[in-house]
Amino acid sequence: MLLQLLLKDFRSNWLYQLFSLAILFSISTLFIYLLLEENGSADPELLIYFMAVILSSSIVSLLFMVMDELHHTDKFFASLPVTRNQIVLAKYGTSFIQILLALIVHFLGALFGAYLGGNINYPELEIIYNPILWLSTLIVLLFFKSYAYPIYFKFGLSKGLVIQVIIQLVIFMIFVAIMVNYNKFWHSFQEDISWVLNQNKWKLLIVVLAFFLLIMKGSIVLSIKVFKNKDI
Amino acid sequence: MSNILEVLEISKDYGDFRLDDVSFSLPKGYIMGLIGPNGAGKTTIIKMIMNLVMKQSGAIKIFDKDHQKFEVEIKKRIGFVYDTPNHYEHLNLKQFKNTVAPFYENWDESAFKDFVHRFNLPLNKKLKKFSKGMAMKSSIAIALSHNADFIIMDEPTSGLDPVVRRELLDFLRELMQDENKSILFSSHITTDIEQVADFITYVHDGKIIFSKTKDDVFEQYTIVKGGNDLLNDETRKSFVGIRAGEFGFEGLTKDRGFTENIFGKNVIYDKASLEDIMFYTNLRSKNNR
Repeated sequence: MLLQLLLKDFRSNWLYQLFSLAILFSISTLFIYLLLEENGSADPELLIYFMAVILSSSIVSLLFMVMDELHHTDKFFASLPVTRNQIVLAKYGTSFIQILLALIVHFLGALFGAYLGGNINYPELEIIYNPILWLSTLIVLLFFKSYAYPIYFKFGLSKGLVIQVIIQLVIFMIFVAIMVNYNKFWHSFQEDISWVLNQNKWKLLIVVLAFFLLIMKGSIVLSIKVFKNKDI
Repeated sequence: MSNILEVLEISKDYGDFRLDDVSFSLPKGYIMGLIGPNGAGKTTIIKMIMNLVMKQSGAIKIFDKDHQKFEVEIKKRIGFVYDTPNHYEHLNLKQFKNTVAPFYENWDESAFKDFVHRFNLPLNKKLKKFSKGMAMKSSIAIALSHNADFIIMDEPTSGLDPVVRRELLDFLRELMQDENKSILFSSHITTDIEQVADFITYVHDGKIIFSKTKDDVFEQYTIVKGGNDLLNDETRKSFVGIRAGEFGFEGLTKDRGFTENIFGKNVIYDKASLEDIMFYTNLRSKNNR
C-alpha cells in the first residue's frame, strides 16, 4: 500500500509534475545561457543560481501537497485501506523523489544552457559539474523538509507553510548575522573549521550524510507521532 | 444475530462540543440510518468509525475486530462515501478509478463498469464538470467496486435533487438483497431514513437519544393534539416537546400508554414521523438551555 500511496500522486498529477519540471529546466537553461552570454563569473552569479535551484525545487516539491489540499484528496485516501504510518512515509517518499527529479532536471537544464551558450567547458561552470555541490543541495533541501513535515502534519499545509517561512527567515537571518560577524564570531574556531575543510571531500560528505539521515529519521518518527493522533 | 458494527461508549471532547458515551450496534444484513440535526455529531461518529477522527475513550469493533488494530484489514471490506466527493477534479472518472483501484486487492472491474452503466456516468468527462448527483454516484461507484461487506455513507443524499435521491435509495434497497451486506448512512433528511432504514440511531447534541429498530421507534413515539385547557405544569411533563398555539397544542410523547392515562380520549393521537421526533427533541433541548 505504501507503494500505491507513492504512485498515486505521480499517477494523478503527472501532467502538473511534468509542467513544473519543464519550468525548472527552463530556469536553469536560461540562467546558464545568460551567464555565458555575459561572460559571468561563478561568484555571485552561480551562488544566486544555486539559491534559485533550492527555492524552485522546494516549491515544486510542494506540488502534490497543494493538489491534495485543493481537492481534499488527503481525506479520501486516508479512508482507503492504508495506515497512518504509510501515509506519513509516502509523503516523505514522494518529496524525496520530487526533489531528486527537480535537481536532475536543473542539472540537465544547466547543461543545455551551456550547450546553447556554445561553451560547455566555460571554466566558471566547473562548479556546476561538481557532484558534491548537487549532493549538498539535495541535503539542504531535505533538511528543510525534515522540519517542514512534522509542522505540516501538525498544522496542515496553509498554517504549516507560514510557520515554515518564518523558520526559514530566522535561519536566513542567523546565517547573515554569522557571515557579517564571520571574523569575530568564528575567530576562536578557525583552526577547527580549517581542519574540517581540509578533510577529504567525500569523507566529509559521508559524515554529513550520516548526520542528515539521523535528522531525517528523527523527523519521520516525530511526524508519525504527530499524525497518529490527528483528526483528519 | 451477529453485529457487523459495535460502538461502545465512545467519547470525544472538542471544548465547545462533546460526543458523550455514544453506544450502538448494527446487526449484519441491515441498514442503519444515523439521524440528527446539523452539528449533532453524526459525521464525527462516522469518522471515528473510519478511524479518521480519534476517540478519547470507548471502543469500536467492526467485523468483530478492533477498528484501529485491524484498520487495513477492516477497511478492505468497507466502502466509504463522504458527504462531498473528494476527488482530483482535473481527472476523469476512468483516470481516478485507475488511481484508487490498486489500493484494493479484490477490485472488481466488471462491478465498476456495471455501476458506471447503471448510473449513466461518463468515463471520459472531467470530474470537475460533474453535477453534484453525478459526483455522488461516481463516489459510490468507486467505493463499492471492491465488493465491500459494510457500506458507510455520510450524508449521501444531501444536496441531491429528488430524482437522484430516489435512485440512490432504490439502489441501497437493491444492495440489501445480498444479506451479507450492511449499510450505515447518516442523513438529516428524515424521509430518506424512513424509506430504507431497518434501524435508526438518533444523535442529538453529541448524545444518543435512541438506537432501535424503525418499528420500535414508530411504536414508541406518538404525536398528541388537543386543546390548551388540558395543559398544566404536570401534563406538560409527559411530553418530549410541546408547541402550544392559539387553537390548541401539539406535542410528542415517547410513552403513549402514560399519555393516554392522562388525557384519555380528549386528545387526538397521530403517528409521529422522524421529523416530528427530531423537531420536538430539539425543541426540548432549546427550552432546557
